[in-house]
Amino acid sequence: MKIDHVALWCNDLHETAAQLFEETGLASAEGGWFETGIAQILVPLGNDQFIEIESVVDRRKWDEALASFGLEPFGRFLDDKIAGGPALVGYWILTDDIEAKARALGAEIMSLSKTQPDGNVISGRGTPPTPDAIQRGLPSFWVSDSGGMEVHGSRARVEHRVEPAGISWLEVGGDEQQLRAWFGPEGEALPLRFAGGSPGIRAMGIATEDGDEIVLRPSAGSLRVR
Amino acid sequence: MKIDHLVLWCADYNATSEQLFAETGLASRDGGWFPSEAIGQRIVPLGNGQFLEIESKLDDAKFREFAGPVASFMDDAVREHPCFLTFWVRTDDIESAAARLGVDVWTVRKTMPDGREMYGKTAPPTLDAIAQGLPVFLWLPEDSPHASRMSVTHRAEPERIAWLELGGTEDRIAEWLGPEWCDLPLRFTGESPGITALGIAMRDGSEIVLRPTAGGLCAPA
Repeated sequence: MKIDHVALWCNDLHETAAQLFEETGLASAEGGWFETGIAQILVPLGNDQFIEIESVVDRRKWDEALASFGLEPFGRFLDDKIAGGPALVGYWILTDDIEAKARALGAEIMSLSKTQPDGNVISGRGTPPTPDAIQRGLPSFWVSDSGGMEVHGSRARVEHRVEPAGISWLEVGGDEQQLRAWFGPEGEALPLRFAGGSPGIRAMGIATEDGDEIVLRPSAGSLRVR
Repeated sequence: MKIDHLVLWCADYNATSEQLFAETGLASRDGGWFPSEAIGQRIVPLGNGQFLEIESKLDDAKFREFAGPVASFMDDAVREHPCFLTFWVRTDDIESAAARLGVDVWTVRKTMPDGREMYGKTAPPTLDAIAQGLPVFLWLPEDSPHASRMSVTHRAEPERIAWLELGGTEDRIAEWLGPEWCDLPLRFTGESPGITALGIAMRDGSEIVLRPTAGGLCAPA
């Protein structure tokens, strides 16, 4: 069991990507877009892991998409999250057997497709569905249906000013026992730090090849903890 | 005098780029973003040192702060479908152009996809031109990377902008652009000011006509 990627939600994906580079030296590349009016920028982190920086580009399309699925509360949840600046909102765990995970969790499976910057469409499935997982502060289990690692976000070509070596830890809120039960025995291998309090992802550590660590803990005015 | 580029304004620059490729085979790539304006763009190189910008706002609140009263006009313009906003002609002497028109010179800054910053100067400030349905004079530093040279894989090969169809009067455009205006391939409809259509000459001798409507970008006249 391994963390695949983390979502950093914001009001302006380009501005946040520029801020991340300025504060940490982590560069990013255009990641594609969704039919729901969302676009993303990718930050490869090494170890086949990445951050996706996402924001709404077409507000009307996004609102219509939320309304059509009865997900207006999810939209408000995300808006509230970034009222004071960008926020880490979700994380995804790779799985080989999405159906078994869904059965075990009693959750539905949601299909997602994204248009890549080159125009190709890639897709994958997650359980529980992203809106449900994010609002409950839980991760989604995820499987890609679009071939190999060549289209994986961790392969985005960028020129970092530092050399990341993967996600070293995630700090998450919520009830530790519930979270451990959610992951099952395999979850013990995940580098999670349990902070208690309200559910959700609070901070992340990114190892660097020189033995240093970058800590992202978004707050008003900054993404990084120095 | 030559048309440098024009902007296709829309609600979602990614979706519109995808639509353009689907309808015409014209590909695009990330063109960067305007930090002060909260606008993102994709670039469609058209050959002949010319290009099309596909743009939309990134952050509504910040965009409104920048655009002021023009923000609502720009929002309304793309409520049903993308639309052309204005076009730019290059000049080596932006100060003289501004003095002749009695307008301000505005410095615009863009962050490229690789993080580099570039800048240029326009006369009048772009929003003023948009509000009047008039073109913009543009000055770029000599070493400035030109978007028309971006590498993309079109499905059909554009050669140049063949013509622009404009509303407004020929006299007003002539007065605005000065005597060299007749070098430009402009067609006039006499309707309200602004760009109504774009013709792109293709290397195979055919022509792509962009005339955005709710039915598509290439809908016939």
